[in-house]
Amino acid sequence: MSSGHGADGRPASRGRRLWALFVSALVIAGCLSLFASGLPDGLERALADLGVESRDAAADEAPAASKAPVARVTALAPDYVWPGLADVPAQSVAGIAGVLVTFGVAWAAGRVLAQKGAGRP
Amino acid sequence: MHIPDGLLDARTLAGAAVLSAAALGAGAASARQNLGERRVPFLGVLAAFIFAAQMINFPVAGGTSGHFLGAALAAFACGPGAASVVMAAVLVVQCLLFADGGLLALGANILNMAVVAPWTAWMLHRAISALPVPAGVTASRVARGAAVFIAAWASVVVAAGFAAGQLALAGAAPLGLVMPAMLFWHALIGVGEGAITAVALAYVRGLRRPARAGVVATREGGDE
Repeated sequence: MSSGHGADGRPASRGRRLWALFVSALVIAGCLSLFASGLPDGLERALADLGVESRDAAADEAPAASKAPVARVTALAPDYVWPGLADVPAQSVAGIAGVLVTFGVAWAAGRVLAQKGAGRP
Repeated sequence: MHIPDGLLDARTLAGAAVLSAAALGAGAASARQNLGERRVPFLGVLAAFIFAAQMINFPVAGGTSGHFLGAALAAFACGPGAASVVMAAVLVVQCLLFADGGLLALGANILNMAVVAPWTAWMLHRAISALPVPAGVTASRVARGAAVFIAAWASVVVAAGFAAGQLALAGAAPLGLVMPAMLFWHALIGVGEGAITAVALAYVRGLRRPARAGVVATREGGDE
């Protein structure tokens, strides 16, 4: 990677690399995520070993409608499953949507910060 | 280590929310000192990449999985203040759209993963870089990769320690049990974090760092 460092520094090249990172995010969320492990994560495992069960964990077993009212309103795709689609597309669509929305949120936040920054000396 | 709703009590939730809001505000304030317009797309893409990478749970051991956190990567790529903003964007989307991490626990999750984790990585990396080692060692690719690996590993372990502390504070589990359990599993998960961060940072730095030639570096100087 260091061999191409001079070329990498050119704005055009960096733009391409930024696009490549964005596309890789879409591919990871849309395709590779299908192969993610479904095992409990570190927190879930630690709590399970201690016999702690959150109300949320209990609710995971129950239908989505029984979840907290707020989560029902905002969570368009609970647990990364887009509603109304079959298993694989549901997860891919949820992942791709998440990447796009996350980009938008972080971009908007950065935009606000950068504008305020421009007003400073 | 996204804490779901139903585990933390009102006092812990409120305390974590206040602390994370204050820290996020401070991070945003420090980020806007040196954030140029040209860096904005990078922040968006970095957040998008971290969101995607967090979806990939990898098995670690004994029927447990973990996933990349990305706080260390963000801290090294754009500084700890901007990293807090990037990580908070990821956590907010995960919480609101995907019910990953509790809504009430969002403050605690932001505190652990968007504040504690990036700052741990950043400060530990600075401390390692300041160690009195021969110049030949610090210049070596392996040594620099090792420093990134250690800092990223620690970011996950320390953030998990904070999560354990919050769970104990809320009375969800005894500290003497939940702390070692959280540290143990995240010490394993952190190995993945260290490795992925070291590799991803090599790529991301190609985006961030212009050629060392003067012209480009000077023009980019205002953005950094």
